[in-house]
Amino acid sequence: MSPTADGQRRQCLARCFAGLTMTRPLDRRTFLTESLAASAAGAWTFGAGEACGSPGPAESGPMGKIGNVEISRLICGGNLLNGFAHARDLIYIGDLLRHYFTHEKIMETWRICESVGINTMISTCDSPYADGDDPTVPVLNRYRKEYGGRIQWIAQCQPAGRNMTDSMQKATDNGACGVFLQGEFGDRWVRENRLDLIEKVITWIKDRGIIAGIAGHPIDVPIAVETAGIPVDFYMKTLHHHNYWSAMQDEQKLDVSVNPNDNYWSRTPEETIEFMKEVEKPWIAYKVLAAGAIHPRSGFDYAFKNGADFACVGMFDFQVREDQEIAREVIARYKNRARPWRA
Amino acid sequence: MSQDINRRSFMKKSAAAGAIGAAGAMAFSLEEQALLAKPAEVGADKPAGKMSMGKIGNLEISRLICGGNLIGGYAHSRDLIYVSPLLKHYFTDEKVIETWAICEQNGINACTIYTGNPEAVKLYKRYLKETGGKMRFLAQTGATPETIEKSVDEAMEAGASAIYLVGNVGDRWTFDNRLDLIEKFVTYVKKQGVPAGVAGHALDMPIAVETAGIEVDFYLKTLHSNNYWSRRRPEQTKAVIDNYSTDNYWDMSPEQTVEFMKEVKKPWIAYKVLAAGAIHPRDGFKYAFDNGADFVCVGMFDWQIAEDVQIADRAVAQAQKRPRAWMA
Repeated sequence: MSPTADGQRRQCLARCFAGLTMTRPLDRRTFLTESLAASAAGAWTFGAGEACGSPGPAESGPMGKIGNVEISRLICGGNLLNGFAHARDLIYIGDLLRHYFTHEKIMETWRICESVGINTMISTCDSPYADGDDPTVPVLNRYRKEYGGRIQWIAQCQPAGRNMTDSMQKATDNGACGVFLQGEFGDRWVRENRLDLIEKVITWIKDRGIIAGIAGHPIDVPIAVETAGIPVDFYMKTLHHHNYWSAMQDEQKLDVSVNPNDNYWSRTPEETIEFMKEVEKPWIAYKVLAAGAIHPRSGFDYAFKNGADFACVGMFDFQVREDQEIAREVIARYKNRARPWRA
Repeated sequence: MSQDINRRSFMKKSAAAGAIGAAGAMAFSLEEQALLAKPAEVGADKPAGKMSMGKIGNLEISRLICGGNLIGGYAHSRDLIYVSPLLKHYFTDEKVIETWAICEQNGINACTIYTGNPEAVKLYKRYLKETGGKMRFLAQTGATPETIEKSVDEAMEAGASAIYLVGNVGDRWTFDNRLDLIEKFVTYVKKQGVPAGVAGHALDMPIAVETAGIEVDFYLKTLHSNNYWSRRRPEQTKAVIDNYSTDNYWDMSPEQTVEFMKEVKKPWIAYKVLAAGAIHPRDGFKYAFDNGADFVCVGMFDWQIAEDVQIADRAVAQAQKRPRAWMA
């Protein structure tokens, strides 16, 4: 085991054991039914020597590795939990998401993820857009403590004002197995040629013994980071085709992060695919369904066929099982694709 | 859920009804709060639980009517695949009951229900029984040429206070020049002693019905501005009922709708006034009431109702001297 991986494992163990009641009985009726099957497989309780990175789902699913962290190829996204719907001009959907995703519903969704073999979620840590009410950390801690949940967390973090690392510190303190710089910051710092800041953040994360990544919407982000030789462990890069009604219109020329209509996230998917072919780092593709406009059959196919190692997808509880089935079928189809699997 | 629990929950919420208006106001922008401070304009002198009302025949109904599409899971959400299933998951029976109760607490006394859905009818009856609510409903019926009487009978059996022909059928029978069927429907509804209406997306419908002299008691006609991003694109020329694959517009010619309806002496319930969620109620309600609507029918979530009532009341108050006379 490398020193980094060893440190990572020790940190995970310390964090897991600090906050857990080992075999606490389930105390929510809604959890009981599905948990019965899962607990038979040992998914809902921690045993001595287990690390928070150990998957142990009730069903197995397609997996990959970033560093020493084993991650399901379908990752549960966190935007929906915060009400970040990217719903074009439909005003109510962000509020609807916030009302739908009660803390219980978030935990139920993660529980279903775990039961079908999705062992990782990506979500924010004190997102500045959540009006001080980002549910990720409190709900994750409750999920672990009260229900023995073991879903892994890769934290999306961003600097707040002059403070570069507060949210990253909080994420690592709360058991994140990985941290990445949020896409808007990735975009901005590349645009402003502040690769020094990106490097600082990546170094800071890696020093904590966890996997470090950077997200971005334009292909410029991985190009710049690769060119500068910044040793990220993974990239988050958007990828979706343009075959949906609300796709980018001819007159829409703005970058993703300043597009007021919020209807595209991968402006040049062909260029992305072409460049990423040569990138040897693992690639987590996101916005693969164009925030709900592309069916998973089409979106997953496009992402995995064209080089993604993982897809990060916001999912409702009632979609998780079907999405995992689709991901399983699609991934099996592309064992020998143009871009080798990098994770 | 037991009857007792529901009653308790309902009573608790009723007791808080006065506070709901205040809570709604808290969520307003500074500009809106300033407007709310002017009772003459916004109706803030009204007691809690009251809102502007109008009459169709002898039926007194709130000018804001609670639509039924959201409850039925019809989101009209363009290409966003997940929204309709999400609505179905959000609107549990308990949530529907809660939503109707909040409507009543805020002065909305009427909703629409599609009576072809026995589950919706059952839930409405449960609502009345378990909460003691008084919500009336306008029955949306999707009759076929062969089932006109049956559809109306079902609506009456369900307890409808008024009955109207659903817009898809109103449009279709107009396009097919089957005004005889519309007349048969209206005549049969009126025989039951309740107001009879016809809904439509195409302006052709009220034009045809008025021209034929069919004695409807009210119209439901779509109305929304085209001032939203996902509006009809220049290449989109299909009638609304043929556009469900994209589902992004419901009034193809709002100016013509406004112009024609000016001369129509029957009450007009405008629907899709928010273009299925893309227009803010501040703009959508104002546009509808300024331009002649006597009522608006709007799908609402529980957390939107108090604010929507405030906005509707304000829009009605500000539209008192509009070009089209109030017909209800």
